Amino acid sequence: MEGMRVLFVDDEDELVSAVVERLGLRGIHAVGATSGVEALERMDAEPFDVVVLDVKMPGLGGLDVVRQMNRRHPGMKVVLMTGHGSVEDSETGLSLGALAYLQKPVDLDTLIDILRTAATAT
Amino acid sequence: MRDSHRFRRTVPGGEALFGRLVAGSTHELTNVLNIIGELAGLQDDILRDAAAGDAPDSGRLAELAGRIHSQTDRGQELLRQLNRFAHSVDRTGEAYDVCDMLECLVALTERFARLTRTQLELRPPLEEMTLVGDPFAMLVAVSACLDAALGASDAARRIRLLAERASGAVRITVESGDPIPTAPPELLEAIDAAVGRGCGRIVQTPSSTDPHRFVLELSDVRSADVMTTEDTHAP
Repeated sequence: MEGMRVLFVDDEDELVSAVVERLGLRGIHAVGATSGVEALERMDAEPFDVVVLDVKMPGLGGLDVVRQMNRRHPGMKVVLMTGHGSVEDSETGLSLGALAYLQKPVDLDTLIDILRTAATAT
Repeated sequence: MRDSHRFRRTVPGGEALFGRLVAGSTHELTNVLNIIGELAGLQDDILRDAAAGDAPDSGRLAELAGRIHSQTDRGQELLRQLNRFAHSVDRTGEAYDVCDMLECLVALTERFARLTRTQLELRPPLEEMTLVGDPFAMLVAVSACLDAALGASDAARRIRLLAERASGAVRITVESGDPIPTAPPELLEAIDAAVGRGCGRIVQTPSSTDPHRFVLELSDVRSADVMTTEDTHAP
């Protein structure tokens, strides 16, 4: 999906910069954020088709960000990812409206497939 | 692990600490491997684009290689600390450097501190303080104090560990910039049991008069005196 706008959020800045650049090389407009607060600021500043959120982050975690997004940007598409497989977190995330819950490491081509599906979801 | 230690007595709270630190470290290593995978993938992307036309930017590839090396260094350091921690269980009755073990604990607890945006610091600058005792039990006791401090981390978000010689023993202080609630009896029992196994005692716990610190004292199992670097090197 050419021109798709993605916000990729993870507290590991090296991961964010690499994924953002790789998505960019595939024609996806990707922007990075390294905290929940920065992610919400980015969303306030510009529109995105999909937000990819790490669940475990210092301060405002991914699930907290989704709760705030639902108030500030209702209908925003969200994909959650985590380094650990917490069933409880995944159930909470999906109940909050996340479209997918991914386990790290996430293969980039798989992520792009999921982003495309999420962006076109109604 | 040596056979002689396979059936060592358990330290109360020891299994929980093991699980927590191993889980935290493996999450951290997952992040490291994830980053390495993405950086290597980025190199592939650049080379693939170059194959289609332009020559690859060697400077850019070298920069990415440097970032990969930084992550492998990070992963190796984490594994080194995890290995030291794992081997602490089979060093009962041997000489160990208290600061060395505390450095290991701080390194493996860093992830949990980061999640609460708390700065964790080991002071003073590392100085060898050798004890004969139970390093794993010492780690369990100090970690319980650290957990209580991390759980109460609020505005200051700063926790310091201090190890110092005091009256022939090694005194370990866990000091938080935020007040720590008075420790519940079960926590005190756990700390007391662990520090007791490590041949020590609780000197101070957070209270209404001083809610900021735990102080533990460890002695050498061979005597009440601490064997310091100077002692071990004395003629």
